[in-house]
Amino acid sequence: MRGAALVMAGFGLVAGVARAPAQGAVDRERQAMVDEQVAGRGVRDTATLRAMRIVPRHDFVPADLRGAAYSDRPLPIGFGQTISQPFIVGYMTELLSLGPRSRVLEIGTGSGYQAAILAEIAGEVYSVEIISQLAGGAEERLRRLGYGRVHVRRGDGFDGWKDAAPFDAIIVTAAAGFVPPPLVEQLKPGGHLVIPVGSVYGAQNLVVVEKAADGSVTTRTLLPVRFVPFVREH
Amino acid sequence: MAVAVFAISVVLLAFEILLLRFFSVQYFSHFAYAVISIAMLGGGASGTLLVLLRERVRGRERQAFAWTAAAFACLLLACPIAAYRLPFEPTALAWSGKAWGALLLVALTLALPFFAGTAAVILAMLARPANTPMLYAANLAGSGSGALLALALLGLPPPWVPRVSPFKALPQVEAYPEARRLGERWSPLGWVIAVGTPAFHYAPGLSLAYEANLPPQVAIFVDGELAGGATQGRGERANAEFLDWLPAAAAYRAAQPHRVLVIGSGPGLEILIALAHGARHVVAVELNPDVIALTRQALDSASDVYRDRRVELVVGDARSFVARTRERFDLVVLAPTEAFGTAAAGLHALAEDYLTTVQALRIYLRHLAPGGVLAMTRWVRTPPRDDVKMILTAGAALRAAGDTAVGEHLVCLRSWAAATVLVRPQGFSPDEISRLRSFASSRLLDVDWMAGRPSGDAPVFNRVERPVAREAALATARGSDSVAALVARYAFDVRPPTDDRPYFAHFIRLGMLRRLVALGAASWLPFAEWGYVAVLATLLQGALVAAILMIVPAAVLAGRGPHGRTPLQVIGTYFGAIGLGYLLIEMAFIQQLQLLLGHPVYAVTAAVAGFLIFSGAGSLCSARLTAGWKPAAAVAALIVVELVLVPVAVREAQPLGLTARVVIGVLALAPLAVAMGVPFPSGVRALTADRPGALAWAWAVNGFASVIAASVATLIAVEWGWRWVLLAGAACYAVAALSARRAGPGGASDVPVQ
Repeated sequence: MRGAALVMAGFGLVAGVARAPAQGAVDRERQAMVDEQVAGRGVRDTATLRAMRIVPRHDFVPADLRGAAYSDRPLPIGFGQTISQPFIVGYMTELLSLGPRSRVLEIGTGSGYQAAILAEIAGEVYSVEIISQLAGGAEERLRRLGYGRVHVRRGDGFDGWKDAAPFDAIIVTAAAGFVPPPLVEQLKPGGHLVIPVGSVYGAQNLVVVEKAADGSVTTRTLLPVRFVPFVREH
Repeated sequence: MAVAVFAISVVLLAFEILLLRFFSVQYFSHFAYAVISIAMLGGGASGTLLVLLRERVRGRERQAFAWTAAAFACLLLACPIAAYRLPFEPTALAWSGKAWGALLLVALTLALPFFAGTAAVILAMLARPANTPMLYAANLAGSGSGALLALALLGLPPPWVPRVSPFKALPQVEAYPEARRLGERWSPLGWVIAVGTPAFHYAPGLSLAYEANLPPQVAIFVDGELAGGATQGRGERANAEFLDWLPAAAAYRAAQPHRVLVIGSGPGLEILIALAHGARHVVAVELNPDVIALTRQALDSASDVYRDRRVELVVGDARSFVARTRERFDLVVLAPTEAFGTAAAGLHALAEDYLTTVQALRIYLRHLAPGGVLAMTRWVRTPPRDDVKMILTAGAALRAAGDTAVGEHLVCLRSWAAATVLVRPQGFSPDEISRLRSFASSRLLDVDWMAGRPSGDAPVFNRVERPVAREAALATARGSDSVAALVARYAFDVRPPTDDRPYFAHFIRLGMLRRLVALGAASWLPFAEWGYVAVLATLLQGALVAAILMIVPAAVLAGRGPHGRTPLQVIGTYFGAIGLGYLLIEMAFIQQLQLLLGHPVYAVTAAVAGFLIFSGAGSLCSARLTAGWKPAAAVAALIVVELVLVPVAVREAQPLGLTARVVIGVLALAPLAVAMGVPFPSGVRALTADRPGALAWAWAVNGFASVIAASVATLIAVEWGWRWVLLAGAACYAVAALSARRAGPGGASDVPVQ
């Protein structure tokens, strides 16, 4: 949304993207990101915050955008895909209610950043990516950074990951306005499926699909910001 | 020289329209709008430069004209090629500083041809001041013909393949495994492409409770954005099952679906739903014949719904069809017109939509057979707005038809993704209500309203922070005062759209912008509407640049003799007012012609060509008319006539064929357009004859005012409606008349032409 503010201000001058800073500075930037953007906006789950303090986000963004890795916005990673805004990653991860033994399925590996966060918290992480080049890049990156136990598969996320099902948690973007039926089926009773609803500019809402112990399904739609939609309440 | 001016003007306008289309295909249309508006400043800037160089050019206007015209020809070739090669991705403006530099570079590059072309036209007028009416007429008529030329060229594939932004759906789906392009077509209505890949699935709003498979589908794109999915395997039962789990299937719990009207049938999903529920006769109205052609080409003949003898295809505008037909239907279906993600980003917030206005819904209701149902589905967002506006619009249409028990005649259902409203003027029987309730609970839909009863103890499947749709339904049932109270208090603009103000997808309220900015730049994403942001940004930038560039020549001129009898402020006011007024009026007509003609491309071409050509004729006559304040005053008076005339013309012509509608539309604007051709040349004659350089100054002010006008017209139309745009145009001409009158008889109005 920085963009909109800039657009509004006319031809605002934006500082060019800086070169990758030194290691210690990067770590400080990441801690500041978690403090200000994630914890500061209400994410409380300690496992989520811990994971976000550890995973080197700058290693998941394209080299020329590395200097902006910890800024408060989504970044493009090629093929029209983005790495989500840090706050959205944290908020979404918290909503999954993961434990150390959870099995998680992610549809849309992208850069692999979200998968690495999940791997810091959950027991088993499965991730499906349809665009072959992205899947290859993410797989290599995850292995190099020590997240080799994330299972990455190239293919259509529509079918989920039948052999590894059922899952305690699933993340899927439902860009076409529906959730593929196999994913709901592969969700364990008591499990959560999170849908970041949005556009290329990032997630605007989060929909949580909850499967109760008896298998019944309900949803909750959450707005990432506090906003009272009526101007004068009676 | 008039011939040369005519030719340059033809090319300039055709170039502008083609650029706009090309950028819309590559990027999103609001970016195209912003880029081209900035480039258009080039035209105004040429006037400024000529003011500064007036002394150097004096006496050599002819040579300067020849050189500038030659430069124009070269730039026309070189600049688009250069701009095409520049790596520019407007979506990246949101995160990259480099993109801002690239935007500036692209806009400046594209501004050069506008700069040179306009400079040539002004030089021609400076060379032959006595010929101003003739040259101005050539300029206007040329521009009008340019619009027609552009329309003709738009039927051809472009010489360069557009580099579609990776953030559009087309390149993303084409990156899927085994994706192949099954066909593509170019027309003025859009670039249509069919892509086949096993990984493409299309079931908008499919219930979370659906457990079976989806049939193979082909993706159909218009201008690189997803327009829908064409479904294979119509005949097989297993492939048809999912159709009963889509939101629109609710309608078939209430209606006897013998005769169904599908508005905007596209790749045919709503037709399939109707056939799967036993429809005997489906009338499918679709505006773009290429969408139908590619759908049919992509499907095997057994899957081709448009071949089914139960289906009758009507290619054309739905408003014209419903104005023309006497047929009655058991069900009228309005499906969502844009893809889920595009809707979420508010990309089309400022696009006119005459299919969802209160007047449109009233007409659909009139075409219902006894017991018939109108069904409308829209995507939902949080905080709720689309569903809220849909419910209020349905209620307003019923009320406008004299319904006194609106609440009894509405059913509102909602999932996490989509909301559906069923409207039935005869009400719902207890039997149908129980069928609808069981449909809702089996599909995990929340009942926001059920034919006169609030949702009550119905199960809640989809929790939102505040179920505003429920409040909207209740307000609608209570009456228009409750609706007005809700609309006034709600943070989003949920006023039911009308034919005056046809913006269903527009939700931003001006007063709300402050609250959004206060939320902090990083967190108002859920509320952003990029179309609106682009218009505001264009207005601010245009105003800023225009102000700077107008003050410079004014200062230069003021310090230079000989001083004419007419003060500079008067010249500025006069030409600024008619520049602004001209474009406001043209924009108002583009909007209403869209209601009449059904597509923006037809409306823009007819209005631009009509206005410019008839104004050219007016300019030719101006030499024989009195100068001074009268021409501008005449325009202001004629607008009052048009306010009455246009709605009548639209209503009477709507049922006719497209050609007849174009002719009547253009005839309706002709008298006004002729009158609007007079004030510029007569003003030039009266106000600037005794002052060297004032003509270029007048031209610059006029040009800059036109640049701002497009944004101003959009803002007025969205907030108050097209009549106010037209009235604002009238006010501009009134101001021009007053300023010319103040220059008065003692002014320059009786100074003979040099």
